Amino acid sequence: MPNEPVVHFQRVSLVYPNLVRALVDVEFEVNEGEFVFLVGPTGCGKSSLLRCVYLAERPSKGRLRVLGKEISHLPPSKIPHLRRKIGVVFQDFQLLEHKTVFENVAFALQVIGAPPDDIKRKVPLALRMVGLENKTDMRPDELSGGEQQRVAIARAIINTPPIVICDEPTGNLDPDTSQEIVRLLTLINQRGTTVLMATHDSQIVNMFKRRVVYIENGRIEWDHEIGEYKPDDEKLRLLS
Amino acid sequence: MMRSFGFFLKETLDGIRRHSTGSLVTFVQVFMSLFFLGLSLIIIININNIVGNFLNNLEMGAFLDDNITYEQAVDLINIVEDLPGVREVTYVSKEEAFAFVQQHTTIDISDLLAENPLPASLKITVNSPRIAEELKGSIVLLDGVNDVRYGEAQLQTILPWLYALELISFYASIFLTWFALITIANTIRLAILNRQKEIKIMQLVGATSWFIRLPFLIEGLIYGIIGAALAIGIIAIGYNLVLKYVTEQFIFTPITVDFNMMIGNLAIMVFVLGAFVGVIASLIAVDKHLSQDVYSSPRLKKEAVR
Ligand SMILES: Nc1ncnc2c1ncn2[C@@H]1O[C@H](COP(=O)(O)OP(=O)(O)OP(=O)(O)O)[C@@H](O)[C@H]1O
Ligand SMILES: [Mg+2]
Repeated sequence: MPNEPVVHFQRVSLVYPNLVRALVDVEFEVNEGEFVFLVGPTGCGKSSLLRCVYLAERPSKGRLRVLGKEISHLPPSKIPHLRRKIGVVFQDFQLLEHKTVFENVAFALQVIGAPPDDIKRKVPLALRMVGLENKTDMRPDELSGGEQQRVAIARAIINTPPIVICDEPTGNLDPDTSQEIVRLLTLINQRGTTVLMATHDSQIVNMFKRRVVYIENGRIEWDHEIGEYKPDDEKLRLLS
Repeated sequence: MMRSFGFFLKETLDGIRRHSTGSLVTFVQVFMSLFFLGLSLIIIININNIVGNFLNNLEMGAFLDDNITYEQAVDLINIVEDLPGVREVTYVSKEEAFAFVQQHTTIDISDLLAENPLPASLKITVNSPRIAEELKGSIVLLDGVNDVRYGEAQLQTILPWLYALELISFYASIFLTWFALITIANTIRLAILNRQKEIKIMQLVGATSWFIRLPFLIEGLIYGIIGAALAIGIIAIGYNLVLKYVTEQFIFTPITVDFNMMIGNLAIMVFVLGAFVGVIASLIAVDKHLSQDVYSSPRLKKEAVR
């Protein structure tokens, strides 16, 4: 099936153990090579939706197909193999402080048992891709926020995953740095990687002109091919 | 898996280094427990040896009346042989008894004694020391038997002590093993807490659960085998010194004298036990604190979803 979506939510609901309903009957498709912004007010379920894709949460109801496989019942022993095909980037970078830039990126290969030759070959390529080829021996605390996020991105793409998930990757960065990071993500997207990015940053969303999915109270409210996001409208609506 | 071994080892050592104070305390505690465990084992092995040599081949002498006939003696042998707990019966004539005594002295006793004063006897080998007293009671009642003797007084006083000591050592070994286990498990728990972030990232990038667990198992194993090696080394040196002293001071020693065999057996036991305890302890800790994928919450029951 050449045209099957890489991510396909089919009436997916997610209920947390505290009975918060984070996702309600979500219907949502992402095709190969797309770049999708997920937006919406805080607590609307953006992170929850993304977490389902790499099985950090299991859908409570519905079917979720990722890369052609129904995963909501995937046995735990198979989860690692799913995650090797999905790179994840967070707001807080999630780097290991005692390791160098090189080691942080290499770590992702080492822990899946990649041969040393592979590691020596792939890590410099990834670091060049994110523009950190001159900082390989530095530690995270010697880097700027933007540089740290680039390390995290290098780590996420080191296995050339078909999907990259970013949960507010620019949340801790200033506007200029945020733009650079998203530009980097669009470069990765141009090489064929599907990118899903949750964000609050309307400036970024409106600047890059990509597909925008708006979520509210765990439901997808609208989904536009080239979306505009005006959080002020949203606030006004909440007030009234 | 093999090609990652260097990585595992490096990660493990790195982890040990990063919580080095805790690791050091663990090394010392594991060493101490295995050291005392080794001592207990020495005690148990030696007691077993003493008891084994001394008692399991316990011999009794049934001294016969002087005027007994050959037929009567043969009858007695048959009767005694059939008693429960008797392994072997041999007849020792007056002449043989005399020759035996003569053998063990340098002076010619036949010159001193006009007549052989030694009675003929039955040499009875007994299966177990526990039935010796009962057996003695039955044999002494037989016609033609004058007296039955074995090292009873000595035995009766020493045996309970030996058994008590053995029992104490046995419980001490169990306690010490348990203590080493708890110590290592606790350290591994701390190591896991120390490495939450690594574990999270490993799970995120798709490391299998065994890959995540292995460094902790190696760490536990390292505590076990290094503790064991230290304990064995110190015990070997100490035991050697004690042995030297004892063999110089006493002609007869109940201690197992074969040093190499003793320490060899002990080394194997302590080492295997140390390694085993190390791995089991980390398995327990890992199972308790690492079972849940931090990124994965359980699927809810249907009822919760309305
Ligand atoms: N682990 C959890 N256990 C229980 N409830 C949770 C959990 N994680 C999130 N929630 C709840 O689920 C809802 C959706 O949360 P989620 O983190 O997906 O929102 P979000 O859109 O990512 O918000 P933000 O923009 O602030 O990151 C919220 O009401 C939140 O309180
Ligand atoms: Mg979020």
